Amino acid sequence: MKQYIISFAHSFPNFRVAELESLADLHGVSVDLSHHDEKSPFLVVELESDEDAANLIRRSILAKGIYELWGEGADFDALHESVKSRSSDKFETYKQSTFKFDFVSFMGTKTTEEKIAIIETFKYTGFEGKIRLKNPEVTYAVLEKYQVSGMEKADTPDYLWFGRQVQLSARSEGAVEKYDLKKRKYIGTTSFEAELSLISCNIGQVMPGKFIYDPFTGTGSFLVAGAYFGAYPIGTDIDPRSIRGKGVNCNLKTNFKQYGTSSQFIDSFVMDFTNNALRNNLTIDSIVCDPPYGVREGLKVCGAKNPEKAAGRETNVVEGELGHLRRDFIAPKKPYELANLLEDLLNFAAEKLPTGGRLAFWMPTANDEFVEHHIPQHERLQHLYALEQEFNKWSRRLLVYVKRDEGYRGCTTNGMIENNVTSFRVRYFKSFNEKSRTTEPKMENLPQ
Amino acid sequence: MRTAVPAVPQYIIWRDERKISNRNTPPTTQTQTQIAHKKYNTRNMKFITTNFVKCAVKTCDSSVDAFPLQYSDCQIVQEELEYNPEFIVHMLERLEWNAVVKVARDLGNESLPPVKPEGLDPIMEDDQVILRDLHTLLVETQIVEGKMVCRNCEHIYFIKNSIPNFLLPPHLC
Repeated sequence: MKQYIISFAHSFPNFRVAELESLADLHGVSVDLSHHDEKSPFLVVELESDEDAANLIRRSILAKGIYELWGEGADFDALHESVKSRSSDKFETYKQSTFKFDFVSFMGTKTTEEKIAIIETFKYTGFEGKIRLKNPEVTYAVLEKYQVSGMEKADTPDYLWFGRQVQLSARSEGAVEKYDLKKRKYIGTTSFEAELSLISCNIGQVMPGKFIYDPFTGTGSFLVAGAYFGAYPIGTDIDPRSIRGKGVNCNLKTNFKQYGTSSQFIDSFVMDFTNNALRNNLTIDSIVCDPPYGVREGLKVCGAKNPEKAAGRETNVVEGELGHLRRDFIAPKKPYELANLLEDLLNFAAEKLPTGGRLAFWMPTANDEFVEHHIPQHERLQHLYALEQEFNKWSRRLLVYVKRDEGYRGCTTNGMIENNVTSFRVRYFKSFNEKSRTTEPKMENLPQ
Repeated sequence: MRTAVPAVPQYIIWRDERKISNRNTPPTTQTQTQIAHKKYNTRNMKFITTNFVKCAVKTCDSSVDAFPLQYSDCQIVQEELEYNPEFIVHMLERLEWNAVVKVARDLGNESLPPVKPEGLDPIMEDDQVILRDLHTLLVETQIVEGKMVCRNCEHIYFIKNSIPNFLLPPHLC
């Protein structure tokens, strides 16, 4: 085993371990991440090879890069001492390679002059290759962490590492900016931000050449993210408007075109997830979605709001044809509870995922009422993660499940139904106070 | 003596005229299927999707007649799309070939082979002709308008303004 150091972006630190564990599992890389500290932007890990290191980091959104660790220390003298004693044998290997130096700094910066002065202090490595700032054969990095107290700017790092760059991440390659919603043509009110969409796909282990399905496609945020990782997206939505898009040059298809992934996109169509038209024996490798919790518009599925009133309508005849068999028929919708929808989602995943396939979806909760028990469970699915993104009075959690083989028997529960958790939408509009916690949901009183 | 006319490519339901002239293919005769010789830019239902969808009515779940749906009164277009042989090979693994043959017949092509082509390699030169034909069939051949009928419950789903719609009336939910 060799030591490597991972540098992280300062973003969603509580999602890091889940992302890297998922990528490690995906590539069969064994790595211990148990000593990860959310406060530190660097993590030293032990890995078998450069190849494992590259596989672990290549797709990552939360990590920036990984480096073979050559030495470390509290100041530059200690760092040089450490590099000389640990890594002298490596100097010869890279002696003739073209190279450059990078600085990866946390909470502090250096001027170009300072950087050059530091690079000079590495002379003892005896590198004879040419310096190339573009496409060097080897990139070395000085990783430094500053300790800032109060408003004062720290001018000396309190710990340093030195290493050889093995792999930069998808983030460093610009994935997050590329998929930024501000630059995307077709978006809507429910479009999911790029960074977390990509992270969701990583933790959902979306794979090249495999299916990714989003039953609540909307503007396709998760599907374009999945296609970025090489998967084949298929999407459905109950709302024909989202599938149609906003015109010939602004729809789901043009989003794929914008990102150059058109040839991976399977298709999208209008379907009510609870009355599913996907064929039973179709294997879906990953399901990644953000179920409509109905803040923007109430959660609806096909059916009559008032069954008594609707009774007998199936025999309605219009111009000699049964009304519901006509091209212009519009299926009525009725309100539906999120708790039930999530149960449907778990049942669907248990049926369609292959062994090892993952379901990843976002669940909103009011902060004052969430308990672990509310996380729905299915006996065929093992619950892996509940990763929280906190807003002011509410949170959403990325819930991730994996389908286990026939021998696995978990427990099927739905704590939201059992505990009669009030509709998230009702609470959202009643400003999350104690009173709104107990009132019965009245969908019709809410803004439409 | 005239030289033999090249064989009709088996997999092609219909080819855009531009391509027909390239290939010396006689136009296929169509029965129910109306063909639009028009390049559409909007998103239509790809042929491949017909292999993934069944009747949405729950009581049809156990019926073998709920898949594939029966396609009628279809208006077809062909959209030129980027050729991705890996995609075609991966999709072939997932396809129910009998349903491919059945739907192609609904749309007017009787010439598909009864057995799924196996062992195609996305980078083998020899396999490119058939992979390109499959690309034309599965991805480029698209339905703009038409009906999808369940052979079990006879419910009719429409492909309307390029969009397949599986929403059910209340009595079938």
